[in-house]
Amino acid sequence: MSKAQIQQADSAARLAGSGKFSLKKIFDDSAAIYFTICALIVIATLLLVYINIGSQAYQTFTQWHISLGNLFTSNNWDAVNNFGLKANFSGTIMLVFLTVFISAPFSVGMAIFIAEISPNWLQAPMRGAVELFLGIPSVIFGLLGLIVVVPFVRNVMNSLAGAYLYNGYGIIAAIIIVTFMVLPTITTISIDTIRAVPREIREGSLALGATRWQTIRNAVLPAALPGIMTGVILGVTRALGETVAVAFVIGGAEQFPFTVNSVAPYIHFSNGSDVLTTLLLFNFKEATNNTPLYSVLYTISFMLLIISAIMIAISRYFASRRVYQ
Amino acid sequence: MSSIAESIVKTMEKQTQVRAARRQRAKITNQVMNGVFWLVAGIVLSALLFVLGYVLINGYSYVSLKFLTSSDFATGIAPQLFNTLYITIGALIPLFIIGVSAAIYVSEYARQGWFLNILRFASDTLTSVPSIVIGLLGFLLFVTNFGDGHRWGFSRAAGILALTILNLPWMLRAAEDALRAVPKDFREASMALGANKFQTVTRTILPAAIPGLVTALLIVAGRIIGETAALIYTSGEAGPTTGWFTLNPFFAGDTLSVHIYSLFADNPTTGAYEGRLATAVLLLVLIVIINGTARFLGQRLHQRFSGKKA
Repeated sequence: MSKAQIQQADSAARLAGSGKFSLKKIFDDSAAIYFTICALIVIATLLLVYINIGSQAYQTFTQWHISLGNLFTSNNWDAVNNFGLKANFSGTIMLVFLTVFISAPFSVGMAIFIAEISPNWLQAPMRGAVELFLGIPSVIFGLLGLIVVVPFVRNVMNSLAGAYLYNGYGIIAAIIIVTFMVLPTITTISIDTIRAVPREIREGSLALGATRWQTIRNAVLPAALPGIMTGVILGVTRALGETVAVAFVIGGAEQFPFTVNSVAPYIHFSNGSDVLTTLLLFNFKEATNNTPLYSVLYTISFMLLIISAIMIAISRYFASRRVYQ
Repeated sequence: MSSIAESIVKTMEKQTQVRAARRQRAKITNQVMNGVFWLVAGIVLSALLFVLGYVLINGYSYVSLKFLTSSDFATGIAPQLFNTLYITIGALIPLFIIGVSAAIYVSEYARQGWFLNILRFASDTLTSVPSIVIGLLGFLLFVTNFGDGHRWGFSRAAGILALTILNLPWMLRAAEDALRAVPKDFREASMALGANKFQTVTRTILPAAIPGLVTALLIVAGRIIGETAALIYTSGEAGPTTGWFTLNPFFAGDTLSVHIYSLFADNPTTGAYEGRLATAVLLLVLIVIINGTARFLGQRLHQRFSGKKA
């Protein structure tokens, strides 16, 4: 047979094959389409969130003519005409930075302990305990904050001030509670990244005569750093989005988390302040359709969406810098 | 001549001394840091035990048969138990179907490329959305209609859909882990026997991944049961205390976690403290059982496929 004949026979056979009614093939093809559609649903869900919240947020500027600058720079919030978010914004920034600043060293220390130092029999139970910690719902933390942390803060602050100035609600109680909540998030991710560092790196360092701490500090931690940063950034998003636990202890008042003045003890923490998420939770009940408050609350939601998305972009950048997966 | 040799010996001795001192210092630092890490672990672990212990010890005495079966707002929890079960199962069904299918796409069908990158970015971004924002979205989409009146009002269906949006990326990630845990040999063996992709997925990979998928389901169930912020403005802060024993999805209802919050927000004069703690005990026990089972199953699965202990 010539080459052309072979080609002809081949294409004829293919034609016959493709024309043949095959239930098996139809199932195979439609399944592939179905699974792809389900993957598309995930992307569509994200678009649904952004488009709906965004279109509501947009009305703040088109329908109510409130400028973005006004939201950021004004300190005056009355939920009717004035929507200054400065106090809430500073509350959120303070909460996020301080909680992550406090909990990150503890989390990384805990991760190093579990992955590097603890004896073998202790590793699985410790890991289980951290994962259990991660699963505890935020209402439980909030409830504990209300029962334990608020009285504790009240007693400590008043005895420091030497007078009854504080009721215990406010940013300090919120920071304490959210620190505990962020801890397991950073710890679990740090454990994974430290575990992913190959054994050869540790063995190389130990063979050069380094002690275990020197090995951890100079070999393991630098190798695991991008992964740990991913965990820290995810901790930031958790602190940023935490609502209910903070709502129990923050007190809910639109004022600065603290004021500085010339009277001892110079920094006065407010009895009750607010962060962006609790502002949403507390004010949404009163909001009705076609009021500026309703639109402003969706604008705050959209801001939270944008900040979280930026955080995720940063964490993905760190994740891409990970050498050991 | 001898003075030069002496000085050389002296320098060497000095160097040895310096080295020994440095080594000694490193050893001491090592010991100290060891202690520091034990201390940190001890502090964190005792904090966890405190959280669990405080709620359980202070709250267990308030849990009684009367508390479990009464429908009263402050002194009973029967509607909340029913709603929790209803909303959890209701949200797990769409989550499981869409989440596992999307995970099959990611782990079996997708090629590395722009579409997979977009999907991963979408899923990661969705995990970062604060749950209160999902709650407000649910309110917007399912509870009210712009301008002209109500859509479904506060309802279990709205809560279920909000939870589906919130947990979809978590389900995708957990299901993907479960599918990826199935060894590659399974796929290759199935393909080598002439099975097509669909047959491989349904008859080889899914059966092998069942324990992992159950783990994924339990992890998500734990998240759903603990969720509060997304439900307050979708399924309602406090549901009706009568007529709740119905499968009607358009009936408002609060879950156990929302109930703790509404007992805080509404703060009834009697029974608020006891009610909150008793509900917290039930919630905590439920979560610990679910997450414990998930972890146990996960370990068993790991052992089965890797042949070594976790």
